[in-house]
Amino acid sequence: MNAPKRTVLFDLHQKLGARMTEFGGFTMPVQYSGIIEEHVAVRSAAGVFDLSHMGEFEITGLHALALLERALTNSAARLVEGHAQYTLMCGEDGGTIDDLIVYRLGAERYLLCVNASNIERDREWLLDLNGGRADFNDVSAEMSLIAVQGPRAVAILERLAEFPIAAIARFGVARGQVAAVRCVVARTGYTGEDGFELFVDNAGAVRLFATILDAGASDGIKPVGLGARDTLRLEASLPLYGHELDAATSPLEAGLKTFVKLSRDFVGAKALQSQLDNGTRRHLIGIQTDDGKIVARRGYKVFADGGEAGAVTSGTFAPWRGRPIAMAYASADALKPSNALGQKIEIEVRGRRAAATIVKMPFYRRGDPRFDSRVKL
Amino acid sequence: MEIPQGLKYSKEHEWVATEESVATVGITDHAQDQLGEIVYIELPAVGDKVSKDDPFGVVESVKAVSDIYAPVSGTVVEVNEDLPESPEVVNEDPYGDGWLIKVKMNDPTDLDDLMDHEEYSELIAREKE
Repeated sequence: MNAPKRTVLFDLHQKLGARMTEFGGFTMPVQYSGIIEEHVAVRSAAGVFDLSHMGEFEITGLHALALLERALTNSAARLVEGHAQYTLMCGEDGGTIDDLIVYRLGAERYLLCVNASNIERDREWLLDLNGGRADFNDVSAEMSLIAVQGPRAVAILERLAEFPIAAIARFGVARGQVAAVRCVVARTGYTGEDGFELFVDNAGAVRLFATILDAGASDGIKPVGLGARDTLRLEASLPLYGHELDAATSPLEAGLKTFVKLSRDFVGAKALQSQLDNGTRRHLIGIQTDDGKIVARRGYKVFADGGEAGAVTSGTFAPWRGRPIAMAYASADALKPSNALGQKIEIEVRGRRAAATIVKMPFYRRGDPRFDSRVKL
Repeated sequence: MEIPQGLKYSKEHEWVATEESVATVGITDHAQDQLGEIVYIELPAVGDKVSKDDPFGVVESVKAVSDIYAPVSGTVVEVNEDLPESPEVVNEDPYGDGWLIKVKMNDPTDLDDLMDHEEYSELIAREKE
């Protein structure tokens, strides 16, 4: 095992009092002031995240689009310049190699943002499919990624941007200077809030992060670690690779059919078409424990229709919803055929069965009011 | 990290304060700090028996769930009724309002196996290395 890598923001995190953890081969901040406080800051004001562990590939040239069309489940051909799309990369069997975002920066210029733990595997896979045709550049080590998320994100960045940053549409991407640092600015994120992700050369990352924190102080911006990043994405019901997605799980099982454009010749298309025709063996479901207190955690068994039906993939106390939430895979056979919403199930929690209900996802939509069981009147 | 004098400590990071044969049990400042924001605590009922080194309850934080181990054996004579509604008190005041249960001890010599302030401070220092 190699020693975990550090992002260029490591010293700043320490100065800000972060508690660090290892994730995807990097030493990353797990929390600064506390997961709940950071989560609430993102929902009600803004948060700034160091996501420099994420991988970035630049794919350019005449053959760039052909590689993406072959490798990815969503159709990159539909992507116009200055826009981004969520997409997945599958093996021939339809299992998921990674989930990622493709940004089209120019006519023949694409930027891919991939999960930290998958950088090497993704690169090898793509290089293999590419066969030397498109220009492929892994810039993960030179590039930092800073996200600013939350209802105040636009206002804060407008003060620092030297171009009309608010004009970038949802899933749009543009180049420009923010805090005198050259960035690729995308209106994407992983929190369920409005916000931006800023790709910058390592040299500008510390200045950018610190300036954003400073500029947003009066708005209540906070630095946010991976702890709250996880609770935010789970509340917004966004999948996390290694939890809801892995090599044994297809995007269709994960409920991501929108991002799978079939009738194209991409890797995994046949397997996914067959799954679509015959139905998937299992479905990703949203769960709430009925007592509103017990947290169904990753790995806990799910019982439905009288038998063991699957397992929890992610579970947490949801700081904005003020109650525990979880996602799990359950076998299609154990679920009500038409609509499993409202179906009563059980979760095995420390040797006992806890009553739970299948609920609609996402658990949180932008603008939903907070329910805080911990606030006393 | 606060480690008050005069309390006894377990290697599982519970503290014990004794008054005659009744032990008040809680989790240490270090334990609450490691767990992070506590959102749910499961405690036994008055009259339940607890056994030294066995789990008697569960504490859930946002990020993790942990068993709480009994530092002594005996019968639960009181539980902190405020915790189901306000589990965050354990974060805020682990040695005071955040106490968990009071146990009538079967055998006060159970206490001899626990650590004092100095020993527990050393344990924490070693864990941090």
